[in-house]
Amino acid sequence: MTTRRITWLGILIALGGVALALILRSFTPSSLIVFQIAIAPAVIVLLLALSLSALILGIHLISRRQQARIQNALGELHDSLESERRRFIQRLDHEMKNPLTAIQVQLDNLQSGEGRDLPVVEDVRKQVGRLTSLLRGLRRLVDLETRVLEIEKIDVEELLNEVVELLQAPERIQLDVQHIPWSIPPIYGDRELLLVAFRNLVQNGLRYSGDVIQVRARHTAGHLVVEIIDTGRGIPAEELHLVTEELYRGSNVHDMPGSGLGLSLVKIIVERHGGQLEIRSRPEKGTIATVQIAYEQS
Amino acid sequence: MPENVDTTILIVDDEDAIRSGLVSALERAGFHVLEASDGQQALDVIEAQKLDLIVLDILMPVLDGRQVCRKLRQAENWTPVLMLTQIEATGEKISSLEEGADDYLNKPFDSYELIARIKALLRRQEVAGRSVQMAHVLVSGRLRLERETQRTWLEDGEIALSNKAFGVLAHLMSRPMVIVSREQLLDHVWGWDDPTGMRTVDVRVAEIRRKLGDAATDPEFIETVAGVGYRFIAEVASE
Repeated sequence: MTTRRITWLGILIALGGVALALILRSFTPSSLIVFQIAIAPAVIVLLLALSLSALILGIHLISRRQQARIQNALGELHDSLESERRRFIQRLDHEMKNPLTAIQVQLDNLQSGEGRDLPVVEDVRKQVGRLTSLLRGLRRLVDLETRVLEIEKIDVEELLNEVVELLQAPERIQLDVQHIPWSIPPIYGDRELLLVAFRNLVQNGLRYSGDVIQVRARHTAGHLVVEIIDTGRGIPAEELHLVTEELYRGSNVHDMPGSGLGLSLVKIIVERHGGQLEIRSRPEKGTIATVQIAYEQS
Repeated sequence: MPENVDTTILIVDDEDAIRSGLVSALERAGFHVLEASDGQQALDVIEAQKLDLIVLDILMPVLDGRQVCRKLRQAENWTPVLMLTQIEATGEKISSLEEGADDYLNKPFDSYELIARIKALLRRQEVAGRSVQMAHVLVSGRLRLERETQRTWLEDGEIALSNKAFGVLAHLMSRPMVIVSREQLLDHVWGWDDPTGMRTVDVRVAEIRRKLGDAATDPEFIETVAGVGYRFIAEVASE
């Protein structure tokens, strides 16, 4: 219950007390003694009402304080879990880099010598490559969470054009940037990071759909809204809340290569810009990924 | 006869498996290779031998890679150093370069990547002389760039460049009159993993031009070489 409601309740109880006191008084005879006797219960009721409202307010304030303390404690716990997680990834990254480098270098040596024609060497190299890129992805995730953003003015259309250019599939990407009745204002953000975020989303659309995908950018109610719409295989409803988790891969995409880090990176980048990533999807129909960034936030 | 046989390279890494693997790979590429397993051993070899390049790991016992590099530069030893960094964060790369390393490579890497970097560094040495390549402060007329602190001044006023724009300007300024391709800039300034394209380089060059007031059509500092990349066209001195 909010403080305002509690205060109103207190006032109502107090007013009720006053009203009751007045009603009791209206039934009293005019004699002063009788009036005093008659008014006494009204005063008692009034005092009781005031005490009761003070008591309720007191209890409420104490519970609010306790709630704030619990929230603070939860916040601290969350922060410490997050930094523990980051430290763990850093340690993992550090401990795995040297063995992976050694394996990689010795594989190169093997392939340059006797093992030149052994297919197994190439298979092992591919798996080392997977581990290496997984490690890089995890490290990048931690880096993104902590690095200082380089904020600058960004032309949204130019940025999205660069995404299209990067992915080298212009015939499959339909870019629709709002120009009427007004053009999208520039946004302030870290250009390189937003490029990574939009590139990942568009790349996902291309990867999981054989068709043309749409990228729409709008200026709506003080927000930049970019939607990436594909008609691909979609995401099962029960998995939608999991797709932005680190290393999560959808149950219907195991036949495709991927690290399970792309959407986590997008989420971190968007949230670091004070924005939101929303994903709506229907299996076998397609997926809409929406990035919303408030202009005042950016 | 292998082409690099007169080139001596010192590999410094405390991991035996990495060191021995790299020694084989570099010897196969024709280099003469020496090895050391910690920073102090590296300094002993450096004192006793004439080297063309040092591949230096950062995290090592006794003396770490940064300390070795700092000692070398303090002693006015300008042998090119390629640092093997552990962490991919930008800060680690920048701090490696601040200690006087000429280039860096993130672990894990493959030996082909390392050999390509070594060759590029050796070529750089031949093309551009030491002074500008290694200098911490570069001056070109009214433009002054301080590598260590990542600060840039035009006339007497400091200009704020983004990290990447600073990297591009420093890279171009340390190679005056040399055409640098967009790919080379991407490789050196952005690294191997960033999913950036050619347009990203152009955006950063546009930022530099805007902040320096340098016109693309009649440039004082950076010239566009159509279809290739960019060239720093003013004279550069080192301090």
